[in-house]
Amino acid sequence: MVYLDNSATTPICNKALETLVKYSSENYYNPSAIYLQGVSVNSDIESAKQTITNALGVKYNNNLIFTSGATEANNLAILGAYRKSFKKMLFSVGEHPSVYNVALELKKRGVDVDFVKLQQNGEIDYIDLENKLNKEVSFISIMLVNNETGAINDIHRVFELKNKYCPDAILHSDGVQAFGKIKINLDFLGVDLFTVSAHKIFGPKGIGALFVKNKNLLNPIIFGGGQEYGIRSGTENVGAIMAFKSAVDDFGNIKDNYNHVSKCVDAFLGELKTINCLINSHHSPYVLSLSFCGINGETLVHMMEKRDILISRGSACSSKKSGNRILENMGLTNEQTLGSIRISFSKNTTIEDAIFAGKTLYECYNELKDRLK
Amino acid sequence: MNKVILLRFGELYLKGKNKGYFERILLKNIKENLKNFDCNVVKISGRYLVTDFDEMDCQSIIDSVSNVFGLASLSIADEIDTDIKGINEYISNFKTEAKTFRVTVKRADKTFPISSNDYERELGGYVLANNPNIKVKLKNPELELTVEIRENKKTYILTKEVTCVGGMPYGTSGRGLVLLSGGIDSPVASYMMAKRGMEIIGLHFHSFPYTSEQAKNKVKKLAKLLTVYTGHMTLICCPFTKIQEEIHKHCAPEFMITIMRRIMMRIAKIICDKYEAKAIITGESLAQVASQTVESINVSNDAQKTYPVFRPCIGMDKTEIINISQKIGTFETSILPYEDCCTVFLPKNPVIKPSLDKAIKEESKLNIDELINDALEQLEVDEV
Repeated sequence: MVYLDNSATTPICNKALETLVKYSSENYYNPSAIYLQGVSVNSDIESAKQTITNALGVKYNNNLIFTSGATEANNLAILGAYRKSFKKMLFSVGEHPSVYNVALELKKRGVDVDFVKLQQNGEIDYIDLENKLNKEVSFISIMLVNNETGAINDIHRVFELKNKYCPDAILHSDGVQAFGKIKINLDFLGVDLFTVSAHKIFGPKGIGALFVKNKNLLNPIIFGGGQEYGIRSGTENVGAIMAFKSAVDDFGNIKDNYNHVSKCVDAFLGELKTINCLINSHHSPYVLSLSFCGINGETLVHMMEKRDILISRGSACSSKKSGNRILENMGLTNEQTLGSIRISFSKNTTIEDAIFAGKTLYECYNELKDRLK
Repeated sequence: MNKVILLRFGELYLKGKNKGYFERILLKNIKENLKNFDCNVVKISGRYLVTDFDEMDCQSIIDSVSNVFGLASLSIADEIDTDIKGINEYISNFKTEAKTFRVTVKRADKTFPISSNDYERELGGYVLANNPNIKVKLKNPELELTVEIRENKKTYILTKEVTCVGGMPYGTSGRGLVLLSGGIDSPVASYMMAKRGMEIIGLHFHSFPYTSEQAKNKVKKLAKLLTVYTGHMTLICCPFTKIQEEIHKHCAPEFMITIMRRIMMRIAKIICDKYEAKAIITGESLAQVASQTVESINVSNDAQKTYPVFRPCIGMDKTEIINISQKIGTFETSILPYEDCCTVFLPKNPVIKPSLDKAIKEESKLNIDELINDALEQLEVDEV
């Protein structure tokens, strides 16, 4: 089987799995406990935070909050930062549902929420952003890498624009598809809040984290025993946290991985030869969004599945809904949207797998065209 | 004194000499319905009784058993020995907040020495004595205290009646094959025929890779939801991809749906033969879509004439169908947005009033028998 749906999730790596087992069976103690075992687990969590913040290019300074995943981290970033004094909140129209739907919810509750358009290449429209920025804007959330297209937004440019028009606004970025895949330096990006997740980088599901530059920015949205600086109560998911750390330790070299994945993508695309398809965005090599005319992307996904190659139609999180907000907002026609598929690679994808998948997609496409003649 | 649930059946009374047969099947269905509860179900004359249950489960048992087709109503009752002194004592201690009441005595045990009318008056007197602010009101009282004196030398005292789903015991009206698309209508049609006692088996046509495994799972889920009423269900999945592709390749596009329906009917006929089903059931509602005009229905009925096609939704509006779908709990699943095999290859302008001659002519371009045989060789059968 060739798995090319790594943007949806990844298998847990051996190192992370071993850690998960170890901290679930041997070192299972509650980190809030005052005996030695608890204290020791607590300091292990600290070391995990250190590892993750370092991977984000910043120093650890009690500035990372573990959550049940990226969805919760995004909710915490937005709802936890929200104040009644907020005049306006800005989001990109291409955000993941765990940001976009929070924005819609706030809008429903009467908050002034606006959305920044996308360019045809999937990046946000910086001119539209600049037009929408003014001193009224209190909060901005723009993702770093888009989960459906791989488009990379220039968050540093967003930061500079923010400083020009509304320096006090809080800047959040969903970094789920960027973390472990492209070089990140949160100081350079200028974000106040940044979301990451473990299961996209060979860690376990059910664990994510929110980087927070200044904890005063956040009110809790979950109350309880006061864990995670009182911002996210609940007994720490120690096994998953430590496995998250192991997954980060196991990244390897980001630049080497990036180059390898780029080669995979080139090899894959090379096999598509004469097929007339549209590459919807070509930023992060990890995510490749293609559109075919005259066919249904879902049919291609199933034909590939039959040949043991797993790809996706749009993002897994939105495949239960018809249409595709992101591609539509990039200006794709209905036919192009319907005919879109997403292939997402990982550092573990081999060139052979990529070639095989490309060849198979070529065959499936031609077979389908023939069957629909 | 024991807490019991008294179950009453409905139309079975009409069934004369076959009553025993209906009652046996209904008992089996009730037991099947309650198999996950720790309780006993027994038949007494004219009633069923659920006994020996944990009081904590009482409401769950009621919720579950009220879905058994053939039951008209049920009541929670106190069971005591039929003994005048005991009954009198029970009623004498009966306390209520109601302002008006009546006592109804049902004397199924004709050996009981006091007539119903006389005993109602006597027991009413005890209630009045013990509840100073209450008055007798024979019509529409706030509280009706029913005392059922049954032949098993037990008396059941109850105050409330819960309406059950009604209909005929499942499995007493033969077997029918329902074409389950995954939409809103066909589960409703299944429910309606099951309610009339017809055992339901399902037939679903799928078009992988044009439709997904999710679409097939959705139909399985719908079949599973229907087992709340049917206890179990056989679901047959028939591949339809090749047939659709061949129609698409060889026939006029506006006849796509018409010919699909005709082939589905032929396949359904063969499956009815095999599974000894005596009717085909569809969720069609007149004029809902192009394939459901009277002309289209005529043309699809022509494809097989061995079995009647039951269309219980035929005279219903969409909103009426949706209401039933919500009531029976299939709506939420029915509206999950996966492609079903009818929406793939959908022509832009399907023929609304197909002529049979034209349909037959279009269809003659296909090797139908071979296509059907191929499909039949790949049937998947699931017990849900």
